[in-house]
Amino acid sequence: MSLRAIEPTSATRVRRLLWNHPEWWVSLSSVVAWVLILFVEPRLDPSGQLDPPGSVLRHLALEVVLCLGMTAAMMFPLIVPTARHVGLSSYWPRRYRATMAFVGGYLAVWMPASLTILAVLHLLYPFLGKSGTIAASFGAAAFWQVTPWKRRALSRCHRLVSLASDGWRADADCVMFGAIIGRSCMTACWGLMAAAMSTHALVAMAVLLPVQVWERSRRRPRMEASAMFMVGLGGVVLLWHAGWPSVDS
Amino acid sequence: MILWYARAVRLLQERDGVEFSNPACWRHLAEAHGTDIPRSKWPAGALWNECDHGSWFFLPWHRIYVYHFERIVRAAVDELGGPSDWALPYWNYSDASRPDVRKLPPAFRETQDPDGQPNPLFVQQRSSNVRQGGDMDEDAVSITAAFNESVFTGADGGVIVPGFGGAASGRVHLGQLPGTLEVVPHGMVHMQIGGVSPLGWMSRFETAGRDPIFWLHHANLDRLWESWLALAGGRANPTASPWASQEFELGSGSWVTHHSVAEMLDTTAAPLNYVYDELPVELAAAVEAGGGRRVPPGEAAMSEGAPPEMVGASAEPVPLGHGESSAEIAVEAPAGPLAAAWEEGRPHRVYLKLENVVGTSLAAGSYAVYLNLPDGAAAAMDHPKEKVGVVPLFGVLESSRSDEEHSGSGLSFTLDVTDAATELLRSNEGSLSRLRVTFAPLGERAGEETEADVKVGGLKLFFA
Repeated sequence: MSLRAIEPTSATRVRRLLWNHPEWWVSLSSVVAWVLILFVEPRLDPSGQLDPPGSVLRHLALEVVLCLGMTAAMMFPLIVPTARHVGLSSYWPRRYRATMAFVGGYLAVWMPASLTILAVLHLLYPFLGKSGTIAASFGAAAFWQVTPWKRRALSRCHRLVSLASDGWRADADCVMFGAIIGRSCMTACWGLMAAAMSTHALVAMAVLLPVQVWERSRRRPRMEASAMFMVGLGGVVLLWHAGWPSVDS
Repeated sequence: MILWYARAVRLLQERDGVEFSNPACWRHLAEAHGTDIPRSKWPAGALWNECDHGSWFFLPWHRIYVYHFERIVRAAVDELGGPSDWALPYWNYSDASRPDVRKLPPAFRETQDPDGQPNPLFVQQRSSNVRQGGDMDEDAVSITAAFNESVFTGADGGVIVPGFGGAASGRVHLGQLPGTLEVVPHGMVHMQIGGVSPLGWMSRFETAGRDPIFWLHHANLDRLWESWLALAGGRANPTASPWASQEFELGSGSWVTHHSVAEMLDTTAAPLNYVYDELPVELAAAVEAGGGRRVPPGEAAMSEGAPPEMVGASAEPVPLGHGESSAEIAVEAPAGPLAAAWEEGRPHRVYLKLENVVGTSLAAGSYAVYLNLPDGAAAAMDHPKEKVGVVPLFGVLESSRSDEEHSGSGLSFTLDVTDAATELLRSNEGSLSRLRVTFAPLGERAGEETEADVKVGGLKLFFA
């Protein structure tokens, strides 16, 4: 008789995935957000508002959904490892609750920040126009990349804390930890988020996400190069909005 | 070999100058590990403060670092007329069959060298015990725990189980969980040599490379890495792209070393081209055979690929001060895929995780950890059955800072406490409802007037 390895079935693979990745839904939320933005992007007017806006209430609701979508799309991929740490460091029945509390705390910081960024962009638009708003956003993002505050915040994004294990303290710790990471993340990435929001272009967002991943995976990322990249990308986005390359040319 | 090392060290130190700008000078090499010098005062092109700890890059980064150092020292030896095949010696402090193996070698203790000059290998900034020829603790040099590891990084990516080499991580200054070898003997030897009263050079990232024994210590760790691989039994380096493709660069100007991890894995091939004269494989095999805690995988939840499950935690942080301290962990039965293993009578493995050890002032360099020490028992009397490991505080001060290089998380450790926990399970008829974890300081201690503030953020128990 010989022993041979038994190939795991698909069901086994899925079960293992769910066991080992209690944060799976964070990744899935990000994917859903990208699909949502892919669907919404063509319906945005040049100022980044949904056309037609409808009532004020509906408009506000759509703004909140848009901010939530952009935060999930751009920022959730960055917190997947931390959310996994939270889940695996919790009692088995609390794993999903813990990761949700963590993401809740994270969003409690990011949502007001995203809405503020969006409001500022809307305020700038009548004065600067689309191109001016994009130029200002990318310029601010490029400047922020080379500041010591950005470097310090990036470092703090890797922070891990010991969480209480049970009861309301466990929930509170997870929410608070999410808020701590959210604050560091927002301090580090508000510029990149503003640049992404100013374009509302899926392609620009898709380019900016790897920039965020890159700068977090390095000990000492070359932020000057990153700033130059932002300037270059801003230029490309401006040219694209100006109609270049023209289909007719 | 050592005499030529001493002469070369002196030559490198003579090159130091004021700003350590010569990439082949002593301090330039030491500062590459860690530095107190503000970045604005670094010489042009310097790559300093680069060390990797608390991640799976600990071993490969230090291999490249030692290789870079050896190239420069060999050139210095050659310049001084020494043997052209000079190689960096290693300090084999774990071989109990040799006398005085836990003492700092005499060549590093004498104040004068055989040439009658001040000995460049002597350093005042070491613990008084090792300066005076005292032994390091036996626990500090043990390779048992490291060699008992069967994987480089745990299947969970090192979130709970770091394995031999440490947690999977991006390249950050201090990642997450250090590998077992990084804890003992690496961190322990650092703290036993450096001491805490006051903190010696070996006790801090920023100064460790200034002590000439640092390089022999890390050459030995590199040898232990090779030994662990030679043990076979499934022991292997990671093959994942983020690890093998990671590139490291050291030096500047005419002395640059730039390689990927993959290029540095075969020591017998270029660019390394070295073999160790002795790998403690037989010793390690004996250790493993006698350990008796290897549980073959392939049963129940382990084969199902379940992650470690948390089954207990402490309620409050635990201070690590001048004396003993302890905390209780209430243990619950696992509720996930490991519940069946629990019903069968025992988990496969039990891990104790010490989360977020932070502080700004140390009372001791390291602590012994005990499970359910008998009431009234003095930990100093040593209780081998209850002792589940030791934790060095090498890196606590640095990792507790929140700045451009550090997140402020402190250090975390995971100890495999399977043997002691299984014993408790047997003696308590399968019940493990409460565990008391006791910490006792080891080695040289700071004076009582030192206001030590180190604490363990939380203790968590995992079944796997």
